[in-house]
Amino acid sequence: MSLRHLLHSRRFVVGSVILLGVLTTAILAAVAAGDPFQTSETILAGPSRAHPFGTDELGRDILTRTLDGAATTLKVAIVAPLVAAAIGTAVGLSGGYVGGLADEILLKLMEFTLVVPRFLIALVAAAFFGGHLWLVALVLAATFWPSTGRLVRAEAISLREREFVEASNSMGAPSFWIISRHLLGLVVPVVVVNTSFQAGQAALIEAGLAFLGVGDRNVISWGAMLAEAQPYLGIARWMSVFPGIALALTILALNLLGDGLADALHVRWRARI
Amino acid sequence: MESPRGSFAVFLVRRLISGVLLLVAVATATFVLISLAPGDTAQVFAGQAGADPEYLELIRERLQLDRPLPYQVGSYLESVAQGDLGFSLIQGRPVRDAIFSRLPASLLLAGAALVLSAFLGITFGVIAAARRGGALDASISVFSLVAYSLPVFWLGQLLVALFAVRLRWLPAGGMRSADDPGGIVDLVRHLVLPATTFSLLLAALLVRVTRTATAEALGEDYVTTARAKGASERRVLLSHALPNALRPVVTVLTGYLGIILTGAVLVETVFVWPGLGRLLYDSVLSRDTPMLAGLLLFSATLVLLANLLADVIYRVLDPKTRFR
Repeated sequence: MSLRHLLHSRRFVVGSVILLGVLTTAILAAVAAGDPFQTSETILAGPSRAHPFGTDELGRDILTRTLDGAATTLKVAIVAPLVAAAIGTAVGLSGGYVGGLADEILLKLMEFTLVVPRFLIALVAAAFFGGHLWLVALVLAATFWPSTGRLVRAEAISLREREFVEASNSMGAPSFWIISRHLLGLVVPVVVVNTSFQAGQAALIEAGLAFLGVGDRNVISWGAMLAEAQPYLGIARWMSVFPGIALALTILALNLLGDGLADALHVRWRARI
Repeated sequence: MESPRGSFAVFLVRRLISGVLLLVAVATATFVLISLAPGDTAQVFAGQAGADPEYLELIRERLQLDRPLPYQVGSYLESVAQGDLGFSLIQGRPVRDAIFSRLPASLLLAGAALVLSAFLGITFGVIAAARRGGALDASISVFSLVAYSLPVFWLGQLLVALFAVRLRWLPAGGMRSADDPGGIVDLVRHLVLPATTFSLLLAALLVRVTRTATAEALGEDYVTTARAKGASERRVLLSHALPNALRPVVTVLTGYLGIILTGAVLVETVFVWPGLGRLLYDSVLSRDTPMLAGLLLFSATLVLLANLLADVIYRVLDPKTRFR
């Protein structure tokens, strides 16, 4: 992977800078920001020196809450795609190179998860089991990995026919060795690009669940803040504007990152549904 | 050689069979998920409406909840196969009736959004491909990337705050006004904001797909040939490159046709649109289990039908397509 290529991609640079900002925000908020649950007498107040982003219907400071929400979004956006990348790569490589049962299972699961939309699965799971943040991340990982797996599988199948792999095979190298030594490194670009796009989706779905009221109620979520803002759109726009900008910027950053990586690593952009 | 028509029929039958098998898998998974949920399964299945003991007993009996899980799954599948998706105590009617009564509103919103986004997406995608590398291409692709990253529910809120609350041009939600029910103008006025919100994300995706596919097609030999024969740039673009770029566009459009129900849940919630998405939302809030299970299955059916439609359209677009 050439770092110079990456730094030449404006999208990658802009995406990384925004994302680093969000990450720093999340860390700083955990260390230094005030209590996001602290209520006050000043309810539904517009942006002011004391409350730069205004306050909500319980007099809570929107700035503090927006900063605090960064960690929630990032946790799901990082954990779910990474778990999916690990499982998807392992299953995709073994399925594509070795074939057999793993391959059959992968294909069936892929079909299955394509038939029931991811958001619907997450919504129903959250409704029945409570929308704990890690549960949401886990459900998303479970719906993400088959798509990673399918891409990796396709790569592995085409790599299987390549001369260096056949050479290695004819010299008696075991499959595991060929996969880990030769194939793993070659499927990294596809996995990296797919994973960064999934991160954007994960952030969006977490916010969507929280918006619908089935998210984790013990953490501050930008989606939940937007749901709280809904009844006050006429009198307290700031309640919707600031968490919305934060959420949109984070997702945009992840998509920029994915675009930049796809360009730099020469991975063909694919429409994801 | 098989005749093309024959092979297509075989293909369709095969797809239908695998579709039915997938639906059985979805129904099974749904039921297992429900039985894993904390609490008494009969209670969970009745929904949190405070079902009376007699009704709970009826559910236990019909789903054979006293027997091992495979039996329970079997009896659930049996009633689903008979078209019985259960009864929603919260809606006060059978799940199937509730779904069909919401379908028209959903189809109206989804149809409007699909048409609008297909128009915007393909138009701007082709323009970007024709001017690729230029300033117009760059601005279209930045704009579409931003639009693609906007959470629909937030976009909806912004549009409501601007056009409904501040400017008072359009209604903030609902499908009809109380004072003028039935008027077509009234309906369209209610449709504008949710359809725009819904279509922007899809249009953004379509711009990217169309641009990539058209740009790729423009590099093909037949385009060079057409140019060499003196075809105008406009003709090359619209009669040679675009038709060959439509396949991925169809994939995305039909893909959305299938998930329109879930895609709409957020939009319908913001705009209080009385469609299936709103029904899904209400069912989640009230833990209306039979309704949720029914909607999951219905949604899976829609996806399968949309995939089938995509295959038929591929066939029309390109008669050479081989069905496997």
